[in-house]
Amino acid sequence: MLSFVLTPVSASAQTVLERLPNGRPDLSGNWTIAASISDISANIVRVDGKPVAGEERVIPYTPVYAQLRAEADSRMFEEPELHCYMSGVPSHLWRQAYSGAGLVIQHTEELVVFLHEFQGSRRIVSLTRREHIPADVRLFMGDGLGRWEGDTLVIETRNNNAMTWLDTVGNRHSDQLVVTERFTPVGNDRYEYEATFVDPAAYTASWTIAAPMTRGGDRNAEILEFACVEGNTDHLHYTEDVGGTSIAAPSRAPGADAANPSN
Amino acid sequence: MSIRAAALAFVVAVTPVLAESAAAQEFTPARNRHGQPDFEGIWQVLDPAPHFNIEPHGASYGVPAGLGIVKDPADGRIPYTAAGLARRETNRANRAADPFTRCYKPGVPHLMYLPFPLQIVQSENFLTIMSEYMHNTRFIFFNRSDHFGEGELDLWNGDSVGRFDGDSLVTDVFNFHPDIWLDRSGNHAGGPTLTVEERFTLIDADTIQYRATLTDAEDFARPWTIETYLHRHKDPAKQILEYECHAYAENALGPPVLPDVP
Repeated sequence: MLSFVLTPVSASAQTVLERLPNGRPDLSGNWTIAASISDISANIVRVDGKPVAGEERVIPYTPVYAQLRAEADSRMFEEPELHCYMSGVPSHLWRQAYSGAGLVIQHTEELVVFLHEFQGSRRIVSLTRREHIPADVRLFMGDGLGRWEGDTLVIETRNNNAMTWLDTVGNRHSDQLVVTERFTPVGNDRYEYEATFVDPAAYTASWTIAAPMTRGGDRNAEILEFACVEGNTDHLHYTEDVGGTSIAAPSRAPGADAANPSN
Repeated sequence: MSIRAAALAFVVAVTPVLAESAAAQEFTPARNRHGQPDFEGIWQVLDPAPHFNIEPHGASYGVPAGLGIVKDPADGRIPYTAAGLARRETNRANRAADPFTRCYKPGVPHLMYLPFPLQIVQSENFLTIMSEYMHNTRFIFFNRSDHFGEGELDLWNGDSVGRFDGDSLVTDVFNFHPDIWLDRSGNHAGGPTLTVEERFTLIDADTIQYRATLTDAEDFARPWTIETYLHRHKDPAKQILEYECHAYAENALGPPVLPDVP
């Protein structure tokens, strides 16, 4: 795969990496991924496989999804955070961190578990399973399968529902989204993170974001409970604007499987 | 003496020691690469009845009968104080207030006997217990020396301080929200005076004996203990999926499930 941000010279040649007993790099610990919460397009490095910069960092929406994106400002009552939804793949990895811990990774030879304080988002990724679950089982956090390409962890996530946004400004995806993430070590506590988005309903071409990923020193930083449903009065900010006392459920994204009640 | 120290003194003074079963003493569990007894796997209680009522109860519409999981006192009844019992009866008369109907976190120990699977993953300094229900996740650190403050935090699932006692995992859980229901029938616990001590013991390779002792001088006349069993899921394809209760309620019912607006 073309890599424009950096050429990941085999980090293991230069740095001693923490490794699992099976020899794979060990990503256990507390991490920060420096990607934009507010607008994911700021982190775009490639569109359709070609390097882009500056004004070229634009999500290649289909007309229907370009319209959805344009309408986001007037549809903030659909914002997933307002509804206490888990943030979805991949943006749950870098959402707001209120206590000392943001993203915590538990890593074993069989699993990578991503835990984030915001919304208590949680993604359990198998490193041994090879088949995705049936396509009509859709999840907020998708079905991620991990594999190794040398020292690079590659995770392909399918089975995403269409109810999550990619950021707070309202960039969207459909339930046909496939996200391929790459975690490449450039030092023991510094990885390069990439995610490539393919979604024939929402995008006319693939697009890729990149961000540096840093491991913190405190392995005991603890994620606190995020009680969103239990204490949610955030909807008032929105309902007062439109004169209502209750918020509507989000409308279904175009292209979503209407027969699937969990989407 | 702080509230918490008083609560602990109360435990020491009054808690009767449950007889350890022979099986729990005989089995030697496998240890992981960190030298810890290995609790990893996907687990679930077999019996849905305690989720409805942890005391002995007959069947009713939608509710299977159960003999209860309260093992001490021996009569299987929660030793409420008068105030604690009054609140239980208030809850029972107003089941619409059940936090579970609003998709809230179930609290500890209720989380452990929900009719949903949970997965345990162990790291060097902590383990996580991850329930399929509303992505509830508990962190249990082994090297944290004490709780956060003196009960000021109102956490639904509490804050857990863990340690290994031989082959058992023992936790001390504190900082609880005041409105936890222990089941769907209004039995309750919670607030800054509640302490839950849990003990996880592998009695064979595929069964965790789970005990929790609840101590709270305001709600309970003495500490009391539940005991149930978590069984390992053996289907290699089994995995934790999602039950995002509040989201499905929005889709199925239209208006979202939200708490009363003050």
